[in-house]
Amino acid sequence: MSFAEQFLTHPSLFPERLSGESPGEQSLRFSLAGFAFALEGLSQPCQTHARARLARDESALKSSLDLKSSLELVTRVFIASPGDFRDVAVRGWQYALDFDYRPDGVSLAGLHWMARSRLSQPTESSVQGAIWTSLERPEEVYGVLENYLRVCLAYRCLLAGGVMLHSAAVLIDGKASLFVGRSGAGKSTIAKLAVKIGLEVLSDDLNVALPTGDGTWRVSTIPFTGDVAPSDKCGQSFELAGIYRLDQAAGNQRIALGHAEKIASLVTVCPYVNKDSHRESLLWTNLESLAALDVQALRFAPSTEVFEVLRHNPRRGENLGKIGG
Amino acid sequence: MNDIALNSVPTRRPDMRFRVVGDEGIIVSQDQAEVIAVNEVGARVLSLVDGERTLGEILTSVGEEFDVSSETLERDTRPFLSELVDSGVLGVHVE
Repeated sequence: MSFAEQFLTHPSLFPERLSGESPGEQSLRFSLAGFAFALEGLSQPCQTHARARLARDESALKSSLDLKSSLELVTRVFIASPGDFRDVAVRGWQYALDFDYRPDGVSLAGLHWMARSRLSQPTESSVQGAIWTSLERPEEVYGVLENYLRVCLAYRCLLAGGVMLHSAAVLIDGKASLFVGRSGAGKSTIAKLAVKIGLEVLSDDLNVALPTGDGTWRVSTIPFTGDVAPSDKCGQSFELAGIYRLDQAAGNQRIALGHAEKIASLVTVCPYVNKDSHRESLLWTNLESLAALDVQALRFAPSTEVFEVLRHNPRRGENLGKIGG
Repeated sequence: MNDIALNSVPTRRPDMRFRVVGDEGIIVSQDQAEVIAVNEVGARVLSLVDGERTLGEILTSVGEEFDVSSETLERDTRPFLSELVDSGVLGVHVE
């Protein structure tokens, strides 16, 4: 199936230019993980709704992270005709965006929307992205904006030397530990167990990790959290203590990983950017840097005892001698 | 498991990406959403998979570079490559 065929009535008519008629003239400026964003062309109800979700107060424009770029990625919203989009039977269907990776950017298609963003770090505050949607209700439009912004943020992190990771972030002694894994690996379970013993959970869905320049990394919380995330930590950042790849098992054990295994564990949990062949080298470079940190496998059974094993030294993985790993 | 003959030519599937990291290697299969880390010998074997060399030629090259008997190399490599073929990471054709 070719790009956007699943969602668009006429994929070949995907807009080439970042232009069209906007539903309104409201704008919204905010920061995600220290990166500045601007949305333009919003209707008043959509702006109000999105502001409540993305920028609860003016501090959303500030971050404890060293700003990698204070320049805004400006995206404008445009009206699309309902006839531009296919009716998709969503019952029992897993929603996944469609991507067209290009040398200069990425195009996206989803349910009743499509978007395009240029993928260089902004050098001036000009419109670099566009969203076309036939949706009008504020909560539906916000869903589109969030999907789009997740992708844009993943790329801005990548261009700044960092990554956005599917992960649960838990604060232990003031530092963030990331528990990574695909859907079903146990991120939400770990987060719930952490809450149960009084640890703070930043998110159980997506977290941003950025290098500081002195060999350490910091984890920044973003509004796109999971079910158990408290909202008062949004916009803050914490030193990254370690990363654990979750492997559900009968018992609890930490396993040290070789360098390649570390990177292999990480590349699977970098959503959106890990399938982009145009920026593959950049991702690998960033992950090689991140893999210099403490990255281990964590076999765990669903009990709070799993946090006990984090205090003990791991043993070397036993599967490194085989050709197949 | 498919056993790969020495005159077979292993090929990389279009969605397969392979990267050497230090002495090791990482295979990423986009379609299968699978990532596999391999050791130094596995990485060298895969770096020689170019759609032109036969398995026999690959084993000869690797055997010259590493201090390992041809029997051991063949015994370890053929099942390894067969697994990758079975999992859709590699293709194979016979010359």
